[in-house]
Amino acid sequence: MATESQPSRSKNPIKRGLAWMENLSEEAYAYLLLIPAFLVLAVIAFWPLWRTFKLSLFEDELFGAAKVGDFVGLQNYIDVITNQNELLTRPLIDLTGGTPFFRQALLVTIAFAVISVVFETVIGFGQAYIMAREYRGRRWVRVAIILPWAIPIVIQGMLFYLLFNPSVGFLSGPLQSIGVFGANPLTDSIDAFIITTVADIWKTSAFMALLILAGMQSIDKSLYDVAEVAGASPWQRFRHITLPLILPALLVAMLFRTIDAMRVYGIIEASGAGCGTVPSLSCLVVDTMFGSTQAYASAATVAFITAIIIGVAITVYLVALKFSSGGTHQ
Amino acid sequence: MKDQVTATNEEQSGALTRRRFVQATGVAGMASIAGCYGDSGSDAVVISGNQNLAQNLEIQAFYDAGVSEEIDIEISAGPEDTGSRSEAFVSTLDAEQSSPDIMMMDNGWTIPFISRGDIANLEAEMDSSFIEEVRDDSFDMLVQTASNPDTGEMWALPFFPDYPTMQYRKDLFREAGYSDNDFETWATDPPSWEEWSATVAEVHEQSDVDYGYVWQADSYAGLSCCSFSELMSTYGGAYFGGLDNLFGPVGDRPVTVEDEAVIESINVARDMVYGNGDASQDITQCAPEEVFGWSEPDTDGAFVGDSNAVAMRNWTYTIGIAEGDEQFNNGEELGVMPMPYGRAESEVESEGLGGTVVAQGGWLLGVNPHTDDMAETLEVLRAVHSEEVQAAVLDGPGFLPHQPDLVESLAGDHPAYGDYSETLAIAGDSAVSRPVTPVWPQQSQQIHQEVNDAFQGNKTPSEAMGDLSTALSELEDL
Repeated sequence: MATESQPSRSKNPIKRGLAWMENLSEEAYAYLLLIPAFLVLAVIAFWPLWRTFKLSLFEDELFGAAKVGDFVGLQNYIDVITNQNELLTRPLIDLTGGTPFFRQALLVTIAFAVISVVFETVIGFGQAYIMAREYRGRRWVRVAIILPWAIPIVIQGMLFYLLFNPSVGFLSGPLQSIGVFGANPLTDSIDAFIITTVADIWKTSAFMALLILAGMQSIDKSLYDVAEVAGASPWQRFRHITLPLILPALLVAMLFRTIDAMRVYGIIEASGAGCGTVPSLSCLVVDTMFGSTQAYASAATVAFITAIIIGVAITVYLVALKFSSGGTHQ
Repeated sequence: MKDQVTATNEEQSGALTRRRFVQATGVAGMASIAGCYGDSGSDAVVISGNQNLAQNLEIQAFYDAGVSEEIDIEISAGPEDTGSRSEAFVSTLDAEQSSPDIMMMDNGWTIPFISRGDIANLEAEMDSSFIEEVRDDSFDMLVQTASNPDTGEMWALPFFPDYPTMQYRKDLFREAGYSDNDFETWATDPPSWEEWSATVAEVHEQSDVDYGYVWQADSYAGLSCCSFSELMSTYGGAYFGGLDNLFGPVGDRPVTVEDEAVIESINVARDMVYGNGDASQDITQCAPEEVFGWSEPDTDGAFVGDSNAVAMRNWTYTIGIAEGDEQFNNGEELGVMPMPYGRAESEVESEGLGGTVVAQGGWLLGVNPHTDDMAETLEVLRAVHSEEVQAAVLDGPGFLPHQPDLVESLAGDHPAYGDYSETLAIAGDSAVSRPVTPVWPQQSQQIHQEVNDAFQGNKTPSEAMGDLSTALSELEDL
């Protein structure tokens, strides 16, 4: 009788699992599908982050088979922040002011992130506005705006290398003659910083434009009609309708770009400027770990500091996003 | 009940069910993971060389030297830049990859790999008679930089030595009024930097090429080990007091980069480019500012590739390249001489410095301890020490043998080097080793950054050398 009362229950565990899954609620099913992603995230993000932090608590072992030596607690962090670590290829920050601004990795990275994100946001706004309007040939304009974003970073770096290399670059000579750049812009820290920042802005403004465009297109057009009838100027329409309604999308776009900008590395190497000339935080990690120094603990320390800084930036954005979302709902 | 009906309808109509979705993504995921573990390796013994070696070395020489025909040998072109090459090997060895089996390593950064035990200890893997033979036959400097500084054991095999010379275009000098007599004199008795800078400037002015004297002054390892080291040495300067302290004792030797001779050599380099008269000597502006961002490939391109420079400092391999170049009339119009001198030997305090000085470079072969077949790898490595392979390395890529005896017997008859054998002998005699110790890679990084900063005017020479002195002292005490 017992077997007859449960005729459909299979002994195969896979079939039983699938049957169980079919009867889950939508919410439970969604969480079930997210489990593999969380597991992958735990393996490729949180585990390495924990290992990096652990590595940073030991002293560098430069001459033995082991990569690190004795446990030193937070000493590496103190040495790195007070510029007492001679194994770093460039200082993280020099609070005494003895190192030029563009040779300090933290300042270079923050300057790069702020300048690039601000310019990309402003330019992206303009591009999104152009892409949102109806006119003949809009399709081609959209392609032209998005094209830089589609170019691989290595190719993009090569383009800028070929523009500014003193031997073959057709821009280096004229810019030198009018006093903008020196003879070797790719080996001068300030010139190379400008070049890599411009390269990043050129490439990534399109990304901002796409996200801002998505926000713009979700706005109810009747709001603009009402505003126009009420006599609102274009600036007032932008200030009181467009900006508040796209702010959540804009903050998400800026969040993505800030995270990317804080870990800039590829364009610096690909453009020929090199990490010695434009020492970003990621550069400092790579050079210290894989360069001639091979100081694993010091590199891990800088890597973890970088992660903390990015975490702080994310938190700021998330708080701003929360307030902007709250304002929108009200 | 309603859900069950809906699910049944979706299945019948071919729509995506939860079951199908999970099954499909599961299969795709498993297939992807399986693909990642696919075997894409090679069964051959792979030597990571450079482009020149990969293109021009005759593999047959290894079989002529006794390597079994059953062993396939491949030479791959690794990164050309020495720093990138070092980084690539760090990644390869950290990841315990089995290929490449043999790695061509700059003797400027091999010792740290040895100290860490990252490459195989040849004394533990090969018979002692062979090791002794290599040790006795090879250039001492190559053996020294291939050995563990603590135990003296040989961990890498010498491959080829190298040192730079001053190379110039005879055709441009002839047009400016110089003759074969001048070339013959310079070949064995190089001029001073005061004379040479003025001569190059004069020839450049009368020519249609863009550049005068091109050399390597980028912020890279080659500046600290070589191009700046030899310039500093010819003015009597040294990083650590003199030649006696090159290889240590680390932490118990003076740091002397703030000495007048070192500052003077930086000013000489700046005068070559800017002509500001910073140096006490009368150096004429003769080099482009671009050199402060140039390494070997850039200068090769300017002097040999584009035939667009009057003179170049470079390693011996470019003699072989110029030999096959029409602009140089297959080497006939290439002038070669030892490097110009800054101060005469009698004018400097440190013994062995002053006069013509060149940086002693060289390359070694290290064995990957994670190789799939250590026996085959060592069989190939052993053949490198044979006359057959060294002759092939000289004939093809144009690298000198690592045995002094073979340099005389093989290079003397070589079509490219034969004409310059006397010059090469003088340059070789004046070679100064780089101070390779376990802390040299870290010190080298600081040196090339500070020296390049001083060259480009980001810091004054005194400021840069003051900062460098502090950094080097701290690294000595690690």
